[in-house]
Amino acid sequence: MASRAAIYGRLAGSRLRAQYQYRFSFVLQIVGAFALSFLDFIEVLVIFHHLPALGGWSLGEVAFLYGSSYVVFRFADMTMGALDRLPVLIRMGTLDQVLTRPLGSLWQVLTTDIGVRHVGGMVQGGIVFWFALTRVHIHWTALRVAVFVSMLIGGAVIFCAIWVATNAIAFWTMDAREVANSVTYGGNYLTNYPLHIFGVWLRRLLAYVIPLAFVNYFPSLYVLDKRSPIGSPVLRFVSPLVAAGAVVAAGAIWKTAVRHYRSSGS
Amino acid sequence: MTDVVHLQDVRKTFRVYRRGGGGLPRLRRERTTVAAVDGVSLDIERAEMVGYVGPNGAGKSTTVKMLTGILAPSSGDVRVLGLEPMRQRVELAKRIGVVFGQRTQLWWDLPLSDSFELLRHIYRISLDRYRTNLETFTGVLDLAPFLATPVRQLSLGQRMRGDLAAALLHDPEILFLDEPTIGLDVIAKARIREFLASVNAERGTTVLLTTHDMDDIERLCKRMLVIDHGRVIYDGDLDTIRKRFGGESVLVVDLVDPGPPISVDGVRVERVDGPRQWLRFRRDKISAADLVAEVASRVQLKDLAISDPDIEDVVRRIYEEGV
Repeated sequence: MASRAAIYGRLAGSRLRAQYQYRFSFVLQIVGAFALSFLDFIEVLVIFHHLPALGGWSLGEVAFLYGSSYVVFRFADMTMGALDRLPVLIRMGTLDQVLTRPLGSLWQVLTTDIGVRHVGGMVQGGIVFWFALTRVHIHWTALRVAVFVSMLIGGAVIFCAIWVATNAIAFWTMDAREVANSVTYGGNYLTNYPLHIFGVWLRRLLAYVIPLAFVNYFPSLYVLDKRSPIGSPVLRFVSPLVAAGAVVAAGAIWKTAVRHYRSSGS
Repeated sequence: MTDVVHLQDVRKTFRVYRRGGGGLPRLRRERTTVAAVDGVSLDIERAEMVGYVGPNGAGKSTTVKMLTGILAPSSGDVRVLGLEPMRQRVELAKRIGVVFGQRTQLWWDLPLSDSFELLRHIYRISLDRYRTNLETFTGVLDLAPFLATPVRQLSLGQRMRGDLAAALLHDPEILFLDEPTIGLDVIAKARIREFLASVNAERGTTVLLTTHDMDDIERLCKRMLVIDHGRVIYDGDLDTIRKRFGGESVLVVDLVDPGPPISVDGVRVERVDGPRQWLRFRRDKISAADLVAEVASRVQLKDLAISDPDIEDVVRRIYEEGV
């Protein structure tokens, strides 16, 4: 298992070295992603310029949601971003090569492109997160720390699983980027805000079908000690379980999808 | 079971959408099912070298892809080294080598030697074995001049040599080759054929290769499978097929003076162009030596050339006439 990880690390490393050959563009991408991602947070600031609170949440609390969501989302974007190229790999038949090697197909696809530029977005999310932590008052207990840490890890895992599951549609439809992006990027947008401000159907979809509500909303309720009009209090603690379930589901979807690979002529 | 490859009644169908006629031509699509491989059964024994021949779209590549775990068969039984390729893909991948002539298995942006190094880790090849194999292949395939060159800068012939070495580093038991000589010049082709023959003879590697190039078959494979419309229409050796469908040889003669068509029993004059004449004959009816002697006894010859039936013509006749 450890040596498996080492091989994937080696593949990713060789990819990084290839990307780093274009140094200027490499650096520019990181800086660009950092600058651009601030525009997203400006939207939050604009809202709070007009309103004192959003669904009962203060600026600091919404920034807490935004920061936590942004960091884990960009982490998923960095590690899973290669899936954007899946339709091309499928159409060109490049996946043949992947499937003839004694390694997992998903991991190989992921190491074909490392989205280092998203480090810029992660840094931005981190800054907002830090800003939030200076404005909200959290009564840290051992359990709060545990829920906080598991929120970040579980959130990243859930986003990664969503990335895999939605992009796998490409095996059937050739191009699934619109569907995948609307769930991943759209999902990130929604997790920037407290879930209960959205309509009931969207809420149910996000909480129980695509488990975005477990990325940060439910655990945040506990960490920030907020009341919520929706969901049982138990849901505040189950993000790690949901993340594990999402991984199993995404893995099963991927496996099924690969069986539908059609390759290309000759 | 000594068979390393076993196919029983294997089919692979694809759904194909066609734009249909009618009211909304852009929206209405006709759905048809096309069988790329339509009931293929075959067995290959260890250390055999088998040529898999057929026109474009006959199902050659699809078969190879089912054998290597890339495509799932729609029905039928596929066994390679006793494994089910799709279900046991990773396990099988350790024991087979695959080369696609049309696209490389190497890392595009990396020097060739880096690709080899990555493969050493991926296949967990012991350092000893890796060094021995790499040294052998570097020598036989003359890789040394471009080991440090990024793969994207290699010529097609160099890349193919690199791909072959890459596919054999882990000592696979079976080597699958899909059009290994496509697009190569005569010298590069000869070199690759020589290499494949030696791998088969010295290492006992089973080889299955698909090709368009009948020379590949002629030089390498005792056994040939001809596939057309997804079905195997011939499975046997090359000599038998040549005897059965053995086409005609052609004797081209340049006469000192232009003359009328030379008439010999069982020989057809195909064309006359001034002093040059084309004579078609069958070697099983009259030997080339007898024919030349006969012709030389009647007219004064300046020059002559004999061309034998192209196996390509033979195969074309099989496609057209059936076995």
